[in-house]
Amino acid sequence: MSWQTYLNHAANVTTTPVLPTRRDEEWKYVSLQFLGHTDFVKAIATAPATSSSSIPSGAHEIVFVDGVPQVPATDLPFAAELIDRSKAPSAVFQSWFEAFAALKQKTFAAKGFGFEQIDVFEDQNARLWDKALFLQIPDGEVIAQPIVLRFISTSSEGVRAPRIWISASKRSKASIVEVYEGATVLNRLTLPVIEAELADSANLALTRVDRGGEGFSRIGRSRVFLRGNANLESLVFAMGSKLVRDNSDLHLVGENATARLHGLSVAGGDQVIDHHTTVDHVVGHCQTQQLYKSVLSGQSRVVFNGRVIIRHDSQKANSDQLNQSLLLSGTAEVDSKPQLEIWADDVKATHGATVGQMNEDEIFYLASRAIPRPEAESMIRQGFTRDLLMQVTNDSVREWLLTLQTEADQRLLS
Amino acid sequence: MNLLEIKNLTANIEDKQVLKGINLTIKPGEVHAIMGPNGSGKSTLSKVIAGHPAYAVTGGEVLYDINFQMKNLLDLETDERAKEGVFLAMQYPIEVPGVSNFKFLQTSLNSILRHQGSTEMEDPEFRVFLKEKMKIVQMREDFLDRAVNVGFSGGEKKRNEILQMAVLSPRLAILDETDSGLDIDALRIVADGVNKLRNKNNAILLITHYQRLLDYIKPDYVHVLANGQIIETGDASLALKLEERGYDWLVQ
Repeated sequence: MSWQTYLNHAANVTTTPVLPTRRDEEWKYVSLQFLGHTDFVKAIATAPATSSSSIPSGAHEIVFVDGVPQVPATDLPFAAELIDRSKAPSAVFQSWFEAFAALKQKTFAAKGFGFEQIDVFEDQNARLWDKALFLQIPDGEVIAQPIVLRFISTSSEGVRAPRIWISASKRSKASIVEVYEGATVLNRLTLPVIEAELADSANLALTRVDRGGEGFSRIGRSRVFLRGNANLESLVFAMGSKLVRDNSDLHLVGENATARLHGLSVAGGDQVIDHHTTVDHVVGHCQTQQLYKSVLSGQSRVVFNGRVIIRHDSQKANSDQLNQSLLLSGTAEVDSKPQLEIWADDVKATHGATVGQMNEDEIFYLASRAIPRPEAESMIRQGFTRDLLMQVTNDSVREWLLTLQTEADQRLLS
Repeated sequence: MNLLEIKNLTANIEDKQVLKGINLTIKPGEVHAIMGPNGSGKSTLSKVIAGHPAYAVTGGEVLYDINFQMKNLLDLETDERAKEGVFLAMQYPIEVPGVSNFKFLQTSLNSILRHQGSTEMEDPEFRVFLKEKMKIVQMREDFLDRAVNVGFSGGEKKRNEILQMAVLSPRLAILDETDSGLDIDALRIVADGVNKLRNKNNAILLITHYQRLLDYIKPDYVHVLANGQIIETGDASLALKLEERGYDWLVQ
């Protein structure tokens, strides 16, 4: 598919989408009724971009205001191109895009997996964005400083549609962090779509943090293709927002690719966090690991729907999946649904789910060491999910996430 | 002045009476051992003193010297008792995933220092302080960065309890079957550690099944607890007698 074909398709997307309902299996646990009055028109920035919240130290930052990427700095150790819908993008992007579209088409051609199904939100994203971002990490480039994409909302109307393509070239290494913020009680909807290709032996960390206010919703998709020996380290940390629907899709198209998909949800009030993952072993000899942990209070709800596909010839695939939750209230709810579609016969695939409550013996142990009960409980709650953060390999990102974890825990009780 | 005076203490777990009138007085500098058959209430006594919420005290009091006044420990929360110098080395130390030993010990000590109005210890200072204490139980430094008791062997867990005791310097240390599950070498390390921490201002209450531990930590008094009451008190020789003859001659 050429760039022009993509634009033509986008131009034909309906302006009045029919939203999925709970009768739709993919949306069984989450009601979108509150979006009823959302007009699917572009959000227009109403205020200058400001944000005072923290990001990892030493980061290269690119700010999106109401979905629109701002001009990046010029001295970056990677290529960052703003794609304007009304202008021809660079030849570099066009040729990368065509190859990527061909890979996608080939991967999705297999029948029976439902890849041809249209996601209305992804379609709306294609229609709505004016400027998109293309990031390319050069061959063999190792970038130690995290690349932060910060998404700020100013407009109280319309929909934000950030669109990002990432090309991680051969043997490159980078850590990209998406931060969705907006401390507001107004209903704000963001529909980001991020696609990435990890070339042979590329190493990419993708961290996504939801720290929006009570009215902020994100319904997003990230889709990552891994070529041979590539490695992906993904973490979705939902600590705020009214609704988060995170669709994370992985397609392992080269042998010996490895991927780690981690999720951490700290939910309170009437927050809804819905993780839908698709891990598609297109070829054999790949390893994937999914670990999603949640801490829930109030009437919050966390969903984990983990789909694993191991295709017919994907022998020696190795796939683990685990979902663990800590329930702090009797009214919070966890829905955990493993969905394993295994067509090859020489594979290893595991899945599991646990739900537990605070352990009184652990609290007593800490209290008997002079630690007051509220502090003891906080240590135990944070300890429950800390392993996810400790495995983040970028030092600056990890330190930042640990401070966010404490912030999320405090917010849980307020 | 006495450090601890337990007077006619009775306690239940669920609806079952486990302690049926315990009387025990301990002075600073003393080591007391409590022995007794399984199910006699030894562990219950230790947990009631420390303040475990699963046990309901139905009568009596546990008086304890706080600033030269005998105060009822039962009126204090678990963490407040610890701040006043009560320490329980547990029979089955609890695993706390995701909380590093270093952070655990530091939070614990700083909580006590804050209570005493002393300056809290920052990371570098505390690490130096901790290194000295770790020598007492011959613990390797990599234990500090591991989660509390997670993946520790039985012996390592017990040593970790004594390390906590060394860090917190309690005035009343209750060691609940600290010797169980230890091989001879580990027992010696643990016992040596306890002996190094003994002084004239603190007291130790040892709960044990075996006389063996008392070869290493010499008690001033040995008590026999059976069916929720202390039925016999003697000196160290009582333990030897029990080792030889069992409990039957006392219980009958």
